[in-house]
Amino acid sequence: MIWVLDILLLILLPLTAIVVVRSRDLMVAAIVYSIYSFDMAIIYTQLNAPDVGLAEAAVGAGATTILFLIAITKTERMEE
Amino acid sequence: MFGSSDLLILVVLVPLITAYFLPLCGYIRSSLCNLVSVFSLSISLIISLYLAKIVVLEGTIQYFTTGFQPPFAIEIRADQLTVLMVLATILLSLLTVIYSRYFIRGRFTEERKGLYYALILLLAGGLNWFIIAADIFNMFVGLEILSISSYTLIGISQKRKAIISGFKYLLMGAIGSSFTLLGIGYLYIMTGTLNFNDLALRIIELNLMHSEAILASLAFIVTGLSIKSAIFPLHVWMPDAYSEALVPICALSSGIIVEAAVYMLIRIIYTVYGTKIIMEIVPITTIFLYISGIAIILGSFFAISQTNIKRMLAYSSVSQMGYIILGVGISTKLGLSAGFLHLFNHTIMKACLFFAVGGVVYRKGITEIYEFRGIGKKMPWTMTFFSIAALSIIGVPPTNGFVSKFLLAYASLDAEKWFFAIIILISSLLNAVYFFKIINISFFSGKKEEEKDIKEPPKTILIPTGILAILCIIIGFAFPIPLSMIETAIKSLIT
Amino acid sequence: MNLSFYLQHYNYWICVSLFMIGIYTMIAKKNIIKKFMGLNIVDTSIFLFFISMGDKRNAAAPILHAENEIIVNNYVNPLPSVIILTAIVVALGLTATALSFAVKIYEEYGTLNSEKIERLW
Repeated sequence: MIWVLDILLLILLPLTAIVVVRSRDLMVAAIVYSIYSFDMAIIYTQLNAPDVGLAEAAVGAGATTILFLIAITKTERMEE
Repeated sequence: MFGSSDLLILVVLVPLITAYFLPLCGYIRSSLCNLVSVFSLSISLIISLYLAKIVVLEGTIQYFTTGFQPPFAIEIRADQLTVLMVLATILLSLLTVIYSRYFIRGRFTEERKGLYYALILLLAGGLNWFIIAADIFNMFVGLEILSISSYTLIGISQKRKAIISGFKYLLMGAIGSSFTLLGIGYLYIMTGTLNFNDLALRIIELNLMHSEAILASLAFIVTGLSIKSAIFPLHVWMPDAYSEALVPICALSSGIIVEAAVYMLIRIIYTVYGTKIIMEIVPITTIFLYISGIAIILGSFFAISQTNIKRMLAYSSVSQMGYIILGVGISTKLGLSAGFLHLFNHTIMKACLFFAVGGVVYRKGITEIYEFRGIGKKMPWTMTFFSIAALSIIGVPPTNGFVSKFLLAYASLDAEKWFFAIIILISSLLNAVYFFKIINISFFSGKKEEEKDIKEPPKTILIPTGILAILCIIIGFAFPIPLSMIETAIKSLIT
Repeated sequence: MNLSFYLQHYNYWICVSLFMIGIYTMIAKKNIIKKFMGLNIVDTSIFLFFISMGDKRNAAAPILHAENEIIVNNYVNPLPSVIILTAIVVALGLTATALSFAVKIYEEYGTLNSEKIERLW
């Protein structure tokens, strides 16, 4: 029954992506982007690519989100 | 001991490794940076000259990174065309670094100078990586290295507008890179290989000529690389970028980055997809033919209407890229070799023009055309070099521009596409309009006001300009040497 | 090429929709940082495309368990993973460059709205 989990995770991807696009608060967008990346990392692991999953969890969910957060704190938080 | 094929990887490694040490040099002593980068690029120039000698005498060099044979190993290869591109890259980067010595004085803080040179060396290393890759994914990595460093180089300038133009370039370039990666994905999913030659074999073996995925990959890769190479409808980032960026960076970008991208585009569509797909199944050469005609004429018209000289040169580049693409469009051996010859000539001519304009910018800080009044009397050498390169772009006989334009016109007549020969003639006239305007203003009108302090720029700015201007004339006479190298490479490209 | 073929390859549908969402964000959103989030979504959708193509049914991750028996069909293709490892790092570099541009733009213009910046230009 693991495919149910697969499909749920896959459906979560566009949903989180839409939240990233729609939210007016950039901080929320960055955090949801982190969720999106972490979801992507789990999917990579499910697709038998654990090394990419690790890299995506570290780089996508970690480093990229931190970069976004730093950029947002240095600029403005709300989207006009 | 190094074999000749091991030397090939050094062309990439020497600039890349030096690039990481340069910020350190910047902290120790900022004047050291320039010397170190000149030294490193000189070594690369010597290596690439030696490689050129080997390739001319012994034929194509191949190098495999692991112990396996391709397609399992990562392959880099250099044929005669590649070696010419590597030579042009290294030569232009070396001249740019020499040129920057005085040009960036006072524009950056002392620590930042190290970063500036590091970016130029990263760019040179990435370009070489991009050029010598015989593997479509390696090509992508090289493309990304050169793109990221070029976005940054376009963005750093004193003017605030430069950041916005760099940002626009980054957005378009990032979409281009993504498209290229997606195209690579489609190729890989269908064939299961990444090596250029192996891809070509597999496409024929597995009978994938009419497969939609292969055609989609062709579309994505052509679009992605066309954005990088500023081919006509996708050129919009170029004038904005060049009007704000530092002049040496304009010369480097216009001289070699867009050329390298168009070189790789041509190499991929001919080696990977082969003439049958690009001529019969998807008539991409015909599309390029008409795009080139529009680009040549419209680029020249836009250039005439500009008042800023850097924007004018940028639109002139759009028009010149049209000539190179015209070579693909004609798609005979003669047409393609003429296009490639024009590519190298354009490297020299356009870099020389930008360098000469940079000399004026260094002394007077002007870029508007009407302000060039009387400059020719104050800076005779700079404007003489400018005029030589301008005459070369127009296509006046003893220069290199004449040779390649003549060959292009001859090739289009030979392929019974006489309409494009007429377009080349009209475009030469239009080029003459906007370049003679500047030459006229700078030499023959003037005495508006006497400014005593204007004199020639320093020698490190004048000498690179001079070298390129002299190369314009030398290649005008010695064109058989590059042409024969190009023709040898193209024989294996078109089968 | 029937309906079940398309339904079985559901990963690719997600890839396509993510690609479209990302491109939409890059084009339609005015905020510069939002544009770069869109760029990242486009990139990850392409990564998912690569990883999906490498996967096989009833196969394990390409980690060698027993040295004696290597049956190729039991392992997924490792090459797309390696490609994507490189591409992830490249995308991180691109994001860092892009965000430094965004910070610099905010320092110079005081806004991140691309339309306002266009007017100030």
